Amino acid sequence: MLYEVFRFEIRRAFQRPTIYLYWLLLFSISFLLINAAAGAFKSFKINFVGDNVFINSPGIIDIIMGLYSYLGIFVVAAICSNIVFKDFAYNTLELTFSTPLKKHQYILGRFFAAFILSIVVFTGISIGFYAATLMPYLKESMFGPNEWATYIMPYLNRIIPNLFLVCAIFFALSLLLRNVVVNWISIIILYALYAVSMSIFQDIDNQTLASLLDPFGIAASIQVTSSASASDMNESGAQLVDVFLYNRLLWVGIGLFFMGLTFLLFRFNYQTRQLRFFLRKKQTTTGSDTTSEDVSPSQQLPLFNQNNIPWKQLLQLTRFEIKKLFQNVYFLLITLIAIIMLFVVSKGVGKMYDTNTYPVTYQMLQVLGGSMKLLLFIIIMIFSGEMIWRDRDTNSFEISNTYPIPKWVTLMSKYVALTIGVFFLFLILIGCGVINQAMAGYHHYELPLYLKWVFGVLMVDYLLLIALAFFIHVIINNKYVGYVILILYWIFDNYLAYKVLKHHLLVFGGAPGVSYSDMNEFGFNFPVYWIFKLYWVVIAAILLIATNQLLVTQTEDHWKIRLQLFINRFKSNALKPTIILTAIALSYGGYIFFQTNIRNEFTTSYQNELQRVAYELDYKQYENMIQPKITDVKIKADLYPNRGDFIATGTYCLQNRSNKTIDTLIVNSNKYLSSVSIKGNTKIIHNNEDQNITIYHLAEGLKPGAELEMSFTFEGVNNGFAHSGSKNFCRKNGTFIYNSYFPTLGYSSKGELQNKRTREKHDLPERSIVRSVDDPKGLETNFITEGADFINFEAIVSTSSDQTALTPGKLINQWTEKGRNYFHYQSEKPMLNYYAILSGRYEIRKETWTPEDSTLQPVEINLFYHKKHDYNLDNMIKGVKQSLSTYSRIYTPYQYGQLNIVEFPRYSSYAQSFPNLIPFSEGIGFIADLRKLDDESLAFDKQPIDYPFFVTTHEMAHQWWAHQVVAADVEGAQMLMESITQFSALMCMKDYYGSDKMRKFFKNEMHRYILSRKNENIAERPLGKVAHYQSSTYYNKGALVMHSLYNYLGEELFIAEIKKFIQKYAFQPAPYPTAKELVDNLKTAAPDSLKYLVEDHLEKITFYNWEADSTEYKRNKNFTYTVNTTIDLEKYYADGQGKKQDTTCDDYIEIGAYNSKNKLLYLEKVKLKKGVNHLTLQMKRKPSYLVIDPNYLLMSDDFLRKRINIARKQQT
Amino acid sequence: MQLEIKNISKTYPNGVKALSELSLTIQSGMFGLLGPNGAGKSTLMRTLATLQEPDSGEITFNDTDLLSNKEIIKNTLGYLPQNFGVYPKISAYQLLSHFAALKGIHNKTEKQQMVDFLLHQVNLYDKRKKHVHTFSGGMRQRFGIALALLGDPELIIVDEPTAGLDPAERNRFNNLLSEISENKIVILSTHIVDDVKDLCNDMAIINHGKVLIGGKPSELIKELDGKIWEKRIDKSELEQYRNDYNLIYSHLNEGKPLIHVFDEEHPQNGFQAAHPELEDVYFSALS
Repeated sequence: MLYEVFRFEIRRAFQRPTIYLYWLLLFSISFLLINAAAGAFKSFKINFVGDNVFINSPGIIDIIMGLYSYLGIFVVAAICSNIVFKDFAYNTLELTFSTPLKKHQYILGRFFAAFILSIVVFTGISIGFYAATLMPYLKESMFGPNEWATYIMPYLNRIIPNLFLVCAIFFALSLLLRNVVVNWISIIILYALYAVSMSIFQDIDNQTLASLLDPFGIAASIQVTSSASASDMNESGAQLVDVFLYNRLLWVGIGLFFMGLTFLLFRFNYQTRQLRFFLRKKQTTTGSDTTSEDVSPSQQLPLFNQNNIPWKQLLQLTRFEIKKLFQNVYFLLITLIAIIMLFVVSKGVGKMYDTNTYPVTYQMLQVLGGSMKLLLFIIIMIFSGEMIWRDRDTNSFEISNTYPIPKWVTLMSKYVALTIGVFFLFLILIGCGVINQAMAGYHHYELPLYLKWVFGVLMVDYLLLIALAFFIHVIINNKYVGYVILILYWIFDNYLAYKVLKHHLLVFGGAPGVSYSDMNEFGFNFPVYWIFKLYWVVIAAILLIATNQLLVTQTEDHWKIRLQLFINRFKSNALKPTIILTAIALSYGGYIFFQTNIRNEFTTSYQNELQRVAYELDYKQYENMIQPKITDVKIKADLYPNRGDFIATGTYCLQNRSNKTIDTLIVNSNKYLSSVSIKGNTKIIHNNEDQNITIYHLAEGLKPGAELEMSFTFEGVNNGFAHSGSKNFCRKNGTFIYNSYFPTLGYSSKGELQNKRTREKHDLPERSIVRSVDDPKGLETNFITEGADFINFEAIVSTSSDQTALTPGKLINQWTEKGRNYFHYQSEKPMLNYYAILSGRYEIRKETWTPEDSTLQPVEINLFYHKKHDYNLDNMIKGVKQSLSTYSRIYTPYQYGQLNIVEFPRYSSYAQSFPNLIPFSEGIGFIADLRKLDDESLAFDKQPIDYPFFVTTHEMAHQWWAHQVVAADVEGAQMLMESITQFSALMCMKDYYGSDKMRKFFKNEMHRYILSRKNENIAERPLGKVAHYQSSTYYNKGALVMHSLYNYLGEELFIAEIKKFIQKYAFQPAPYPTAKELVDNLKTAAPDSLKYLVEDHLEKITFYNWEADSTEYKRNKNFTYTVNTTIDLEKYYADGQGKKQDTTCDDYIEIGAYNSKNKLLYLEKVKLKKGVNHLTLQMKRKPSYLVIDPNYLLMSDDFLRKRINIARKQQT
Repeated sequence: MQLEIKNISKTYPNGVKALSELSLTIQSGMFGLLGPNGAGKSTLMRTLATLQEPDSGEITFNDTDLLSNKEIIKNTLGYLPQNFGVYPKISAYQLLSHFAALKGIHNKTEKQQMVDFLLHQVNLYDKRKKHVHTFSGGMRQRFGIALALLGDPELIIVDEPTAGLDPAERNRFNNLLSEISENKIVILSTHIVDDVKDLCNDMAIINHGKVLIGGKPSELIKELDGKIWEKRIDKSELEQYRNDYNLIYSHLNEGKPLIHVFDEEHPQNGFQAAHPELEDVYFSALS
């Protein structure tokens, strides 16, 4: 019998087209995905992980299958509901339930049918994947060997368990509750669980919890593969071990639990169980009607006025629809989920270095615009369908359609009702946002801002989406297919739309982004946003008209008849408005197109690639042509924050610093540079307007040492708007302009395409990605800027009367003229040709740093900040002061008499160091919540990190490591520029806070470095030869390595070497210093016993693995303690792809012992060999656990630095 | 008041010809539309109720073209479909008020009076606070008629309203229909001959989308006077009688077939003159 039921369902499914459609859907998605990843589409490419990983490697297939098994569950929901609801939908309930079928036969037969069908459908993924790898037109180099096991493993550990779980859940809930919407709700809950666990996963101390919580096992698989390198990814996917195994067991168990629940609660009966939230007395009316018929009073029909006023009908119907919506338990349930999600998600917003920010309003707005999108979409998807189908689902449409209601009233009432539903949800969420702020003790409530953002920015997207949803439901005319199409649309819209369609005018609802910053508020982009959105509002209106004409108001819904009817209706009353609206859309769209593509430039990423290819092909020949260097820069710049314009004139002094005469000048400009002129007898011999390159011939030639003047005018005048938004150079408040707008000289290899696969695509030769240490051009060029050594700089900057303008240099004069503020800056010392111009309405905090050492100059510190952002000014000032005293002690004196920190809008989240000027984003540091900084009761993991202090000290360090000594543009430059800077910041932190605070920081750095290794596109290089693409090496690993060298070699030796280096090279022009020199110096200086360490850290990629076993302690007679432990040690070197090579070792490794209160009792470096080491440690107090390398001095996958508990030795 | 149906035809996309050149003229009063299942009754009803488009032909109601003035016709139309559902979780009173507003009755008092009146008339006033979807079949049909009567329509179309009702309910329902049919056109589509006999002053019998016969029931019956003969026979003989005589119909009477045959003259052979009934008209038209 069981088999009978099963077979019946399977056969029925295979006779119908849906299974094939689902299979084909999954097949084609994965087929296309692989094609796109392998570069089959010229202009559309996606990347999974680094280029070193084969597309069909076990690691990638594993990840993709994992994602599928969670994105694809709506297909499972459809399969399950089809099988479960068949009896309810076709009224065969009584027939089925009256057969002698046993409960378990019924449930299991159908469950297995649904489960097996789901698995069958999901085979489409791997087959699509496999088929794609065989395509002859794809580049073979991207694929590794195809192995069957690779395709089968993910089914065993991901897809089949997940399908079992979701099938069980859908089955249980839909059988027991008999409502389709419960499936949607369970999908939301599963997705929400996934989202929550992914957000918990960010917190590296709670990863295990997050891994268990994720129903799909994705977090768990990431955890078990976190230390995988590219080469590991090519070897295997996530192994079913550890937390991944537990996760799978847990969730399959939960699936079994749901099956058990179904057995227990399911009854063969006709009465449906309904989900009731509000207990209401069940109404029953019996069939027999006892009142006799002659009771009816012989009344006359009352008098009445019948007057069909459409707006009154609209009101009536809208009220009715709203009532239906708000009475719907599922609507309320989704609202509840949204509220919970808001509270969960807003916890992690803006978190940096594990430290929260104040929940300022714009962060709450980010949550409303981000995480809530999916829920709002689901509401619109479900209820647009419900509304369109309600009359037909309840079989009451034959009545309602004979009522004299215009079609548009019907449609409009639904539209308005759904809009009000979304509106209502937003109001609730705003309320929750405010509560959230209050709970975090942040009491600056900005209700008008909430409302402006929700109704001025977010709401329009939902108005458009609702129109589209109605359109899709009506045109498809099948509720479930309508849902599926809407889901596909959503996936397309969120992941692919811009990759495929590229232009806002083609992507439904497309517009340039607008974001809110406390400083710049909505900025210039807000009106542009609306220019695009209004275009889409017109399109949506056309859609609504079409929807209205297509609305099924008749009993026949065959497509031929609908089409005929549509044409008739359309001709009779929709033609005129449609023509008018289409004309408006076309001309308005044309206007937008004119702005974005004709007045301004629109380039797709592919066109951009082509342009760079052309640049390389045409001008690479000039790469080594010697050009004069810029020695002096004088700028006069005028900023107009109100209209966004930026106008500047400048003069360069160019000097031939080579020993040959220069007769050709290659000048790079841009279209805003209205004039560039060079003094003397010059002739333009080449001018390329596309590439903005002009080549001049110097008739007399520029002799060695001779100088030449070049001047230019930059006219950055607002020129309409572009595809990316408003085309303004200044912001209303918080302008931040780089000098990259100004002309440069010579061919720059930075303009070449870098990515290996992209270069292959364009048939460009392979290119070494970084200059080798002895490259002459590299040694001539500094790391920060090409074409200049240290320059003299002078600038007069003007801005509006309410703003202050800043640029590097000392402010030597300031005045007001014609209602504008003028500032005259001049650099006191030669500086790099690297500057920015900032302007804004700032509050100013002034301090002076007075050095203890009287030979040093005092420094004037100005902190320019936005009015409301005054939380952490002290921390930043302290950072500056600490930097000044630490760096002038361990390095050299600070070169300027002043230092300006300037806040800028949060469109970018970084701080940057210019000579004596540090722009600092409002998104980092200014709003960090450091109220618990001094809370000693918190464990070290829970304490916030004072990153405003840290970032300040990092940027301050650049005043030395960049602005005093600047590396040559060759391999390893970032070690000098960034790793030492990170280390410097750590020194400040140590000086100010003590070393305890640093462990949490180390843990984060180690984690990030370990995690980044699988994404390596090219090849990982040792720190001493690091390249620009390895940010996790030179920042995260760099900080750890520098600190480790400092720790092992000792402060005196290490600092002395660094100090020697900076003293030797400060303010020196070309040739510039290299990391190799410092590495060599360190190697020479290190004692013989530690030379291996310098090599391991700087010239190799080294890892350790350790495992401790049988760790016990014994109390000695003199009340000291002896700890015995066995440590199994492995050391290996990795190559660029992450391939491991074992090596022997006899290395110093630090061991720490802690008591139960986490207090350090013992810390020694002990010499350990490869393999098993037996250790005996002596300590004065009773230890609780050991930690190997607690200060993160060595690289190891064990980024948590697990505690090794010490047991008391059993007396024998 | 007059409803004029001229030459309407309808073929469904699956090839079924539901109406073929059908013409009818219907005056005030109750009009019965009889026909077997699949005769095209519901198609005609839906077409009259503006729910379907005919392929050709025209329909005028009081000189207004119904097909091109649907919105106008809907103001004076009441329609009770063959089977219909209602929104869940809404009481009879609320639902009726809702539809009253949609019919254009916006004045609160008038709306209330209208709803009260109709609930009284269909004898559901006591149940007005109950949810409609919990009603029994008969109550639901009566509620449906209340919906159809909202706004005092001039043209009322009821499609097989008594199917599935018990005799008492059916009786009650028919009384209701006859009460409302004054000064209105009420079209009753049914395959139950007795309903037409009881209620209608005019009727038509249709099959295969065509009108077979039309007129007042009494006149149609009169035409058969003296031409219908009946006989009680054995089951085994039925086939033979079917071949030998113009057999209109047979039905079981006390377990044995009682056959009616049509003949201008007495067929002898033990036949007796039968008093013609509407069934005879119906079946003779169909045969």
